[in-house]
Amino acid sequence: MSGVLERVQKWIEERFGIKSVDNILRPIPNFSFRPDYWTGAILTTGFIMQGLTGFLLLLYYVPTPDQAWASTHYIMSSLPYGSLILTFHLYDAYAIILIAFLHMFRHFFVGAYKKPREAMWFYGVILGLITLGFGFTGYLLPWTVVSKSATDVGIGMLNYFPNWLTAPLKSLIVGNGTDAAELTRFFALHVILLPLLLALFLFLKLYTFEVHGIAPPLGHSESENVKKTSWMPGGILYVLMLALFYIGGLLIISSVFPATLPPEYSVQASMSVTPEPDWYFLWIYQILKLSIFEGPNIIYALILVGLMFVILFLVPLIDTREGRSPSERPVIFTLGMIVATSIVFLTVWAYLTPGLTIPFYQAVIYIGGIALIEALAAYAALRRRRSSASAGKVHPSIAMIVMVSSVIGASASLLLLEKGYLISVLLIVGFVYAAMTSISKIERLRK
Amino acid sequence: MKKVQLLLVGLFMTLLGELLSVAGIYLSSQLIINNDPLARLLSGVFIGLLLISFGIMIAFYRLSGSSEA
Amino acid sequence: MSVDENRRNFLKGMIALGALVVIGGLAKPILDYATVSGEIVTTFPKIKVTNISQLQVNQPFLFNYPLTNEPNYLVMLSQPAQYGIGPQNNIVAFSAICEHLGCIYHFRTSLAPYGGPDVPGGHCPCHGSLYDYLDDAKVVGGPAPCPVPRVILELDSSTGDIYAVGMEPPTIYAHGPSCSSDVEYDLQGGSVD
Repeated sequence: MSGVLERVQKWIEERFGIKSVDNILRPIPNFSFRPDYWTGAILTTGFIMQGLTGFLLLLYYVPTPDQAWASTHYIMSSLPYGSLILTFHLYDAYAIILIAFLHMFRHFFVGAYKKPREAMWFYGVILGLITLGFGFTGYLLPWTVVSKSATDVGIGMLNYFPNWLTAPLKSLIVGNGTDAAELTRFFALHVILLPLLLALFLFLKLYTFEVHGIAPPLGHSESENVKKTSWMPGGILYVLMLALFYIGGLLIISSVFPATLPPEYSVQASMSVTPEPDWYFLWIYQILKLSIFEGPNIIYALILVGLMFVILFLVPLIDTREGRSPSERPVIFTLGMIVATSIVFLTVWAYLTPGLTIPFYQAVIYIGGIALIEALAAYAALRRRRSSASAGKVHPSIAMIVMVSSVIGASASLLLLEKGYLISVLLIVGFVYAAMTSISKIERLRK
Repeated sequence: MKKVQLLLVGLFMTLLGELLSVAGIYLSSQLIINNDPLARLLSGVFIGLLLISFGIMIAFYRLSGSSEA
Repeated sequence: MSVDENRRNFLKGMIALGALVVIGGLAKPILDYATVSGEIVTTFPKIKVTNISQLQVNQPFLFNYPLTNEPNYLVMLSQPAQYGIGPQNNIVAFSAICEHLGCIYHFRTSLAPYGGPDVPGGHCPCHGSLYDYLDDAKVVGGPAPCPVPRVILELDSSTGDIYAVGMEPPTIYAHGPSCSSDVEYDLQGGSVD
């Protein structure tokens, strides 16, 4: 049996120049066989599934204004498994965006963007923007009263930029401005250009990953000798297992909770609908709704959001300290937590206030309040521990717990805001403080 | 010996799970073509369970240590 | 613990089997979804094509019948033709798809410039097949293996409306075996809308 295997390996080596998988893909350290190390693999699985389900949808979807909704409706109602495939495509998109958010913050909190892995972060932010692009372009395609109105509002914001900038952008995105041109271009972006860009940057990210290898757990050095497993077959099996659970779980959810198709877009129907972006843009929407950005001032809101993404991109160049544990970089760590919490907070808040302008002082109180409380809690938790021997040793999954708990705490407190400020403040304090102190308590690391 | 028994039971159970899921898929396929609402609700569940069963089978396989070749 | 080859192969075999079952299970839903055929039509519908007042001599009218991927020419010729309808027996309709390799041929008022007789009919630019519209689309030149099928027409003399009610053999190109005499095949391989 092994003689056959050896002959196959020799055959491959002579023709492809590949001696062993281990020469191309680094063996995987055994400590990293945990799902939070593989969010990137889950995301890649998600993208592949989007390509496959997208292809199946393409067999029946027609990208013209008079046929877009009808063909989508045909898929949902008359085709066997059509509703399942379309719902899966939608929920997978949402799952990708959510997991990408978690993926980014997880790597932020463990400091995986630090030297020499800055490129991973740069590629990652670009991939994040591509992902949002997929969401924005795909949302229009069913041509429903909700999606077309929202997309047109989104495109309309381009008009607030100076003409030399908007003119080329608009002609690229909407062509001559007719509905047909808009749909065709969004379709072309969604189905050809964005997938090409995705493939390119995904390849660059994976290639760069293989250059450096996985960021070791905090307190461990890069060159340490740890037990490893080859990709063939151990690594492939693990990824396959995760992928199967992800796809299978999403399929079950898609089956039991099928998506519903809003009515077809028409000018009359759109008059009774308040256009709102899809959930993953709600936090931006909330910023745009602030009273200080009313009317022509909206350009400043757009610039602010643009700046936020630029700063996000530059994080590895902003935080250049070598230390990766929270106690070695408390400011940037806390800032990250505040941003994560605020995004969730703004999303929930936008959901509760559709179409309403937000008085600026309210935003100052809420976001400022969250920032202040989290900063104080972080200071208290980390300051005490800096002197102890446990400083610098952090259980990697605590990063996830930190973020999730502060996020949950903040959003829950918002929903309870009507019950009173005190409860919300206490909730935020409680969650953040508990999360931060647990960071320093856990010293054992997986071997 | 106990670990081996657990492994074998696990592998066969997951294979059985896969086969039952496939049976569910094929039996409900005609209903799906006729747009039966209950079948539409459950069709994805069968497919999802098929994939998850295979995933669990791989988990058992990894438990056996065979993947650390 | 030494490596037990048999045990290892058994485990690998189980995984392979598991993978095969998954593929088999996924095949059916994907194929069911991707290979949906249109609404099954079992009888030839009666469809209004046009009105006799709309027709001009030697101006072909293109229409799809019985399925949307089966185009036909309806022409009012300048002289009576075999099976022609109308007061002058000069209105005929034939499939527009050449029976040789499926090109859409052209209607010409005379086939003489293409090496055929001086009759109105079809000339296919792909390989030169010629169909005589006066003689039930008989093949008078080129490599076509059989005539193009005739559309059975009915004229409502009170209104002037012309209806398509059926197809004569042979079968339309790519619907059923080549030049078959079973016109039921014309109802398959497409949809009515």
